Amino acid sequence: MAGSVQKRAGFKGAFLEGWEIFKESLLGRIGLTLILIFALMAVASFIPPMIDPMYHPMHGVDPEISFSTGPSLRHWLGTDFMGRDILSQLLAGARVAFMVGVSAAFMSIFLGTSIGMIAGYMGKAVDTMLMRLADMIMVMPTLLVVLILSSLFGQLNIWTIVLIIALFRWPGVSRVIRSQTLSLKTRPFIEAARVAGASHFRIIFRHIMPNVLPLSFLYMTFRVTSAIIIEAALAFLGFGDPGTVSWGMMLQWVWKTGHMFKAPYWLLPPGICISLITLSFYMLGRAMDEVLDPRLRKEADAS
Amino acid sequence: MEVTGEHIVEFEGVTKIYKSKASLFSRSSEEVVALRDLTLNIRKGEIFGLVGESGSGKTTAGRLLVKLEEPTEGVIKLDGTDITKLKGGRLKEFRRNVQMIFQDPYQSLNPQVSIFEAVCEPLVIHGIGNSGNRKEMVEEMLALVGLSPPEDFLARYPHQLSGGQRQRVAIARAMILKPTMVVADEPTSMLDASISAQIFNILLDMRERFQVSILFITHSLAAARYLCDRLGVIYKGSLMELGPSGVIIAEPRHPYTQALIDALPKFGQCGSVFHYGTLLAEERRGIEDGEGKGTKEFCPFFPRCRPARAEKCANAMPRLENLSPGHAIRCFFPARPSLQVETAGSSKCYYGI
Repeated sequence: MAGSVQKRAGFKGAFLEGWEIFKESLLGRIGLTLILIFALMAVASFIPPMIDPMYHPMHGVDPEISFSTGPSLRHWLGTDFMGRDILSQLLAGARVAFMVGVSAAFMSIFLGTSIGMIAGYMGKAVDTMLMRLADMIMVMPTLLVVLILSSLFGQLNIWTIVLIIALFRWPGVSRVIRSQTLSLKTRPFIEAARVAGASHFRIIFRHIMPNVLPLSFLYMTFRVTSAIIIEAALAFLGFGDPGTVSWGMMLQWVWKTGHMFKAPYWLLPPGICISLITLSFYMLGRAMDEVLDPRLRKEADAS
Repeated sequence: MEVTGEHIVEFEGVTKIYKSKASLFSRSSEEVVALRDLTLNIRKGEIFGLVGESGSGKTTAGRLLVKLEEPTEGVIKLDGTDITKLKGGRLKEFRRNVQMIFQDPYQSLNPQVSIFEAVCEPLVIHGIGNSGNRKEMVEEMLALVGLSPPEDFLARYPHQLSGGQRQRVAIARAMILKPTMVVADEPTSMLDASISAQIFNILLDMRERFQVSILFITHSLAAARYLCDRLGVIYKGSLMELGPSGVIIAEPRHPYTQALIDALPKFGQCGSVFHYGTLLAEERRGIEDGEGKGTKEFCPFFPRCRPARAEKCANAMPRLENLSPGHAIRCFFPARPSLQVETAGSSKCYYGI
């Protein structure tokens, strides 16, 4: 149908225009490159176990090694305390980081955007109720709550952790989306839709949502960062999912087996990876911020 | 088309008061009267002009008529039915019959929605046509508002169009449902004069073609004279003068209307232009901040009116009274019909818009 073709043309145009501005930003280019490298690592994590079962990040133990060894030809980054390959663990960690970060961020953005739009658009009692709920959740320290929950229910599954992070991280997004909705609500094109007879549902999803989605995606990059950090902190403190190899988990093994100062080849890679991946998503977010908000652009761009 | 005597819209004693809520620091809530006791009728097939300065309440009247806002008091009827209490299916039917063209075409089209989708949306909402013939209906309407060839515009987005083109799209969107009543809220105030004239002609054409009645809201008497059959002049929420547009422009009887005509720019061979001179350069003081603030009734134009007499105008609100059939004014001291001085609007002297 004609409509679908036209839509693609419009969004493509907007995307290309945004990309032009994004390209100019050094932060954005570095961030995107780093994210691509981590994505490659995540994809590559499927390769080592295929070469030899001893490279399996969780169960694969080198039959000839039963203690931590430094880098060698056989194990490029060395092995951990029971002879598992650190490189393959690092690659698997990238996969987990993406999984946790993107899915938790996506869920919290989905919740935050819907709740923010509904609160902003409906106003009055609905708005008050939803925003007070958001305030209450916002002041709860996520990490502490997850710690208490896991000490109550034992070890948490990785998806439970993702869900909890999402449930605790939507209020910030919803506040921003709500204020954006409040200003959109009084714009004449929303009134024009009302005069045409559009339902509340139609106005929210056809007219308001396309105008707040860019902002939602911006916040998604920042949420990815916080989700990865929370997961890593949990795992390091020993409350992670014992069935998954994440970077936080690797750090916990280093610490628990007393290799903290003895095995830098084991301690440094996951530490550096956690820092870099959060930094790269943050830089991506900052660059996207510039695309969306012309006031943040450099003077040179305007002339 | 023929303007019949039947009324399509009736405002009966409509008052709209905006209240600012009392806050923690100011106990008293402020009230702003946007419209006071408005009573007027719009006939079927007529273009009725509502003229007034900024903040006079003319836009409020339009917003009440399309149910973007509800009156504080009074009744608004469309085809004899009270629209203030419509709900559900009746409301949707009303939405189909009454449309609005907004002032700012840069704001009234969603930047994320293509022209085709924008014009088509009312059809989708009201379930008219199917995906096959909607495209033809949209193209036909775009051609009628002068966007041709229409296929070229379907895929575009508002930011790719000029102001005049956007306002044409807004008109197409309003007219595609074939409404019986359209409110045009200063549709040309954001456009150049040459584009404005084209928009006026489109509105006239729409009236011919679809027998639609139009409430045309404007601050420009010249635009109103070009387009409207009858005029209402509104000041601070009160209707001051009401009558056929030719009569109101040629022989205004209310001091405020006369002041509006004085304010029009004129060009051409105007000779010595007649000035009514009814507007005081400086407002009279002492009414609103005197004793009994807010309770006293007085003519809203009194503070700026030169011919006013304090003993009467400052102590009572005049009623809207008929001078001749179809011509009514709200003034204790209506001006005499002017002797035919050479005024603007004659053959060689023109009003600017």
